[in-house]
Amino acid sequence: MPSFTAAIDAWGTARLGLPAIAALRKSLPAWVPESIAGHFLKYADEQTVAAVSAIDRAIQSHEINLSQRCDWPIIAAPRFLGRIAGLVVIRGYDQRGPQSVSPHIIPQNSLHSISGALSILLASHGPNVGVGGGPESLDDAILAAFSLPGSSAAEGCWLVATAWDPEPVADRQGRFSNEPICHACALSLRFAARELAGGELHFRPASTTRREARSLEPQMSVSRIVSQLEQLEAGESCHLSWLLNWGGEVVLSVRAAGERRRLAA
Amino acid sequence: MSSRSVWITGVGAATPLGRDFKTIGDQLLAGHSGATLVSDSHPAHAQQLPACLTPEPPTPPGWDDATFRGLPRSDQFALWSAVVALEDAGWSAGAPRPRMGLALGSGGELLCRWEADWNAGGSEMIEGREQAPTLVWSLGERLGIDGPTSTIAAACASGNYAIAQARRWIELGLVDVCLAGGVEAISPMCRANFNNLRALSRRTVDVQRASRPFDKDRDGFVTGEGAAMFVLEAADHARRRGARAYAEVAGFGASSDAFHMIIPSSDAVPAASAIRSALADAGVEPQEVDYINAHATSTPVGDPGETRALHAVFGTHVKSVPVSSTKSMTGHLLSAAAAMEALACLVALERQAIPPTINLDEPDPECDLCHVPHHAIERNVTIALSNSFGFGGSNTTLVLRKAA
Repeated sequence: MPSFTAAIDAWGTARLGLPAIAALRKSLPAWVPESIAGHFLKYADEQTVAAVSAIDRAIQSHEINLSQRCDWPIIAAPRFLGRIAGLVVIRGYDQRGPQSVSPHIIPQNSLHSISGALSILLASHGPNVGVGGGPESLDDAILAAFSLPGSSAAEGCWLVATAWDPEPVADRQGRFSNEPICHACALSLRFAARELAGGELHFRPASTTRREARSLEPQMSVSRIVSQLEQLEAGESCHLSWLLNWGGEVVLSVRAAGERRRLAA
Repeated sequence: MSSRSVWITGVGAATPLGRDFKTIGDQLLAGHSGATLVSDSHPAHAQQLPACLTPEPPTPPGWDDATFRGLPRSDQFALWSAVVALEDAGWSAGAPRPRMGLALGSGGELLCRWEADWNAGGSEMIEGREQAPTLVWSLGERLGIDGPTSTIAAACASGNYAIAQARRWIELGLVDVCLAGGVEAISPMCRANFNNLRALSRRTVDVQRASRPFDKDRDGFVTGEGAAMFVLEAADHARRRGARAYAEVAGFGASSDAFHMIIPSSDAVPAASAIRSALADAGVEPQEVDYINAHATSTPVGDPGETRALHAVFGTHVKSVPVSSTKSMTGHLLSAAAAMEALACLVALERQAIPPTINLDEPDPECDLCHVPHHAIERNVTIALSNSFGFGGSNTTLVLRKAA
């Protein structure tokens, strides 16, 4: 059974409540091509806005030159995308019929929507796909990063995972009874990096599976990765490992700045 | 070119034209339309549209009828198709199997599921459950899949990605056998979305003539639904057990327009890049292609765009490669479209005949291709190419080759 390793040369996170997401819809990051309308995110899903914010952090904090990544695949793994917009539209249909349905609901709130939006904003012509969609989204994303078809010519890929934690809870009138937080992490992965990178993502598939071990409660969550990556700013390295449902282990390591300087020396 | 050949050794489907390979093939080659007029009644406003519906499939042999009937329609389509494909490939339930994966193209399942749950008085959408299973998870559990299972979505290109993903897992040695395909169940809200987007044909009279890709009078697509699933298997593995080979999954290419969430780019370069990548992956020259199953949905903007991409890749040869859009008969199966059209290519490879584009009375001058209007034609088909493009600017091309 093969094993896979990619260097992590940039990363970014976002942790946003609904008011912050509403504010971020009104403008686009500076690196977005001028041809993209400023209201591009007006109808985007909340998880798309969080994904853009995480990518923005990765680009800004690692001084990434996007022109060198114009063929990079984009893999986006949301969890339960479209829950808030879906509630509005489904209630609307119930009350007012088909004419009330927003034409944006499928283009902006389906599994492909985050990766499609990012490919436009990043001006990347590589493949873009959404994977997962449910509890196992993050694990699907790791698998896709190392096995995405049609991506062999690219040096790397963008891997973005998003999830509400807690998930939005509402009543049948559409009133929220909690304050959901949308988490997003963006990783820039390079498959053949020759220099020391900030970290690594390892994936070791197992040759056999214990079916009884499968669970709808994955061992790793987006919010935990976001928390760990945020600790880098406090000087703590990030080291996470977990097992996949179908067999295999993932190890995500990102070194704190001090450790990177020590290794480079 | 890939190092390990991968074959399709089993096919299962639930489509507007039938739910077995032979019937679907007969219908496609006979030029039958699956369209009917659908009425979504509502006190505020009724909606009538042409649509290609798929009847609920029968309960697969060995499955509990009440349980199967209790599943959402998308799950029924997918489960029926997967069970039939596995049986067809010789991997019946209970028999010893090699490690198997499942790659499913499915993009809108959550909205569809939440809508059905809401209408039934359920609360899944509003409760904030974190452990609600996806279709691929449930399907994998029901089928006892022991390898990787994953949903992959690129809107209407999802099925091509799923097939290519399965091929890649086999090439990498993650699995020996993999189920792959696409599924879509259309709900009233889904139809309303596309209608309000003004993407659908508004022909409510003579609805079997509503889906008319490449025709001068096309006015939008007709929704379709269903599933098509395939068993993919390493060729050496399949040969050893004497399995039937429908085709080799020979090549795949993908790109993004990076242009618009909905509208395809008028620039032919990204789509042409996906086609070229697929041909290169298969080690095939453009002049070797015997049949092109076009994405062509019957929209005013999309069909000429694909035509330009085909011209860019095939050059003068574009005048002699037969091109058809089977969406004229099946409607647009969205997440399942690419899988449905891979199945149409398998029909062409097996029957040595090319399904037509029905309703193509007067080709749009901007869609100047070697059309197969109205009636199927006999043709030696060794290599078939299938384009599938999708919202979010996704372009994909699959190359299928008669297995040697």
